[in-house]
Amino acid sequence: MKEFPDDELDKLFKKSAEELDSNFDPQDWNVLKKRLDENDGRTTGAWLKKWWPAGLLAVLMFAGLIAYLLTNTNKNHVSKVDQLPENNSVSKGGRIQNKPEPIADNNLPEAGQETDSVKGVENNIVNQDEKITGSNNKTVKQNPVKTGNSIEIEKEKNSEVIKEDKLKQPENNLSESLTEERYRILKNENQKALPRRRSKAGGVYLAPNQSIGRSGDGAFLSDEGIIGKDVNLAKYDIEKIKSDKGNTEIQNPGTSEHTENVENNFPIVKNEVNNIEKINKDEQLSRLNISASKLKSRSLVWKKTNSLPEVEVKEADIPPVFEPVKAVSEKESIPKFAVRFSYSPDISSVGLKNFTKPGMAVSLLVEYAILAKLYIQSGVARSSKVYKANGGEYVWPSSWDDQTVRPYSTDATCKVIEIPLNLRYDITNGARSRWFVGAGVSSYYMQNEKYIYNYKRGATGVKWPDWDGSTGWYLLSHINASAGYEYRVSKKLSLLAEPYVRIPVKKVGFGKVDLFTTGVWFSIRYTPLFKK
Amino acid sequence: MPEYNSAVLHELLDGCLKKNRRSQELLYKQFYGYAMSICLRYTRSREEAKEILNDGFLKIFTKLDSFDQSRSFKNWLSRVMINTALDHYRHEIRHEVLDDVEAADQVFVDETVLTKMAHEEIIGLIQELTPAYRLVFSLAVIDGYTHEEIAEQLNISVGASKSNLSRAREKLRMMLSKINIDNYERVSR
Repeated sequence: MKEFPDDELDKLFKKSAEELDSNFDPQDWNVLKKRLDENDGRTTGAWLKKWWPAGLLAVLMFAGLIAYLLTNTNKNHVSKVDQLPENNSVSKGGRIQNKPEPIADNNLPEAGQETDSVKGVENNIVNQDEKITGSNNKTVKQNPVKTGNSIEIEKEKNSEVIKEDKLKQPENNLSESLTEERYRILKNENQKALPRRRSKAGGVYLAPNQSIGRSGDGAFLSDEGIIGKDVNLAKYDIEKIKSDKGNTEIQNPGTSEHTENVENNFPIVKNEVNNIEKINKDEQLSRLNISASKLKSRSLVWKKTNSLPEVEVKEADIPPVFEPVKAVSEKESIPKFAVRFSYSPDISSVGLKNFTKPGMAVSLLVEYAILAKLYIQSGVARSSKVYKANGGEYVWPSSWDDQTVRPYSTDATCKVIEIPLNLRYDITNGARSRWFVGAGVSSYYMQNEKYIYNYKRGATGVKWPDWDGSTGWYLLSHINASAGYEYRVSKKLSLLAEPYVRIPVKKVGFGKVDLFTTGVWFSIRYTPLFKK
Repeated sequence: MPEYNSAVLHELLDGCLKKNRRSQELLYKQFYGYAMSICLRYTRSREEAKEILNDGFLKIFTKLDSFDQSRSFKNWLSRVMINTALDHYRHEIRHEVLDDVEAADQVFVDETVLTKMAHEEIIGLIQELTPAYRLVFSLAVIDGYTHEEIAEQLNISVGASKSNLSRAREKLRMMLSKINIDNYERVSR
């Protein structure tokens, strides 16, 4: 046995430390693996813990976008409905009529002079078509394009003939022909235009130019004939117009003005009667002139065929969109209570400097409307405040007097429960959204405070490297101010974004600091509807 | 430049950088014994050592991108483990009550007894020291820290570090002596 010197002792322990080799324990790896999974966000819980604020924000934004789109769709719908009264008027009997009077009914007193003349032309056109498709097969063969349209023309003819009959027959003959109702149904059926049935260009069908030796993008073919394209046809047309004039006079002597109107309104037709041999020479000019005049006339005809059918509507069936029912009902049923759940990043600092990474805050508030636009709100908020304070901003407890050295800074992480009492005032109050401001006071409960004190290198006599504890309540320690925007998703739910500040009026925490906090509350506001 | 790390180790480290669990597990297995021997001499129990070991490895896996692979990984791992143990100590220092060591009499130890002692038993003696002594002894004697460095790490003065080392040695001698006596009594019975 011998004395054990320092170097021997050191050698013994050093050797043991170097040669010690512990066996691997798989359980230890499993524990670490679990922590690594949590750290990398590979577990569901860890993933949720890491991303739930971002997820909540994404959901809020998505919901807001959907709501915005829905609202826009509704607005468009409402605006379309709103346009109705501009074109239609509701008569005393509840009948909706087109204001620019459709030329459908020749016996309407509102129809002007021009309208009458156009109708006359139309009647002639119908008769002319009748001849082309029915009695004059020879001519039809010369114009296969025309034949292609004959079925459509036939259909149109039927409707026009019915109208003609109706117009021509005196009132006492109406009982023998179609009834008013049946006429309307037939008229509507005939007005169901197929996409290719009529050209969009005012009812004039544009077909490829099939005339020999002529290039171009097409010639106008219409019910009125092919003036400038085929002299024979043109001749035939003019003769037919003349004969129609005679027929019309025979059938309906009272409408002899119509033919005169045709000639007055269509000077080119007149010109053709007198200068039929010159047509070939003036072909191009004539085509242009005819086109313009035809377009004009056909556009009027198109208006006629496009006119809305008269619909019998009872006064009770008129959509409520014309009346401000909504606004009235909203004002009448403003809910008194609302609940808000909010999330916010928590940016805290002492003296508006040394901002560090933000903590987070969640809150649950209840609101009560004391006036139409004024709410009182309170609840509870829990926040994690991370901040850095300089040494001079800390008030050191007297029990630390035996430690002469002081830290140059403090890293703090505090869990705070806050009880706010605020007033909220709505500045603007729209149907879907509102802007508001808020102000109030908050009391802090310092639930848990963790401070790490940073000392200068080589500082001696440090007894307090950190502190962990709770200093309790600080009543009415902060003044709150905020402004925000609320968007209503539905009657019960709305989304809010509300930037806020917490201004210290009392020093809080173990170090008695002026803790300033700011952030933005992202909230879901629920308005319960209580059953009476 | 000396090549501290083998090709296999480089491959493992690359896998760990990509957060490959298999690579992490292999690296953990390879350095488990070494890391555990460090943690054991800075803690009072094996359970506490495991906790520090896993904390240390978690730091290694999450901060591996800051490691310069041209340097020794073993040294870096050792430093990370020691620093983790020191952090653990700093966190618990508020609750620590330093017990004074009584001035020990001259201690005599039988060398034959020491040779029969397992390494774990010897390291177990360090674990029986109070945290302040244990840390100073481990840092100074086993890991080769100077008193200045120890003072900085533990926020104590150089004098306190020297004093703690001296007292730690005294404590260990006493413990060895006690083992010697117990062993003598057992043999003589």
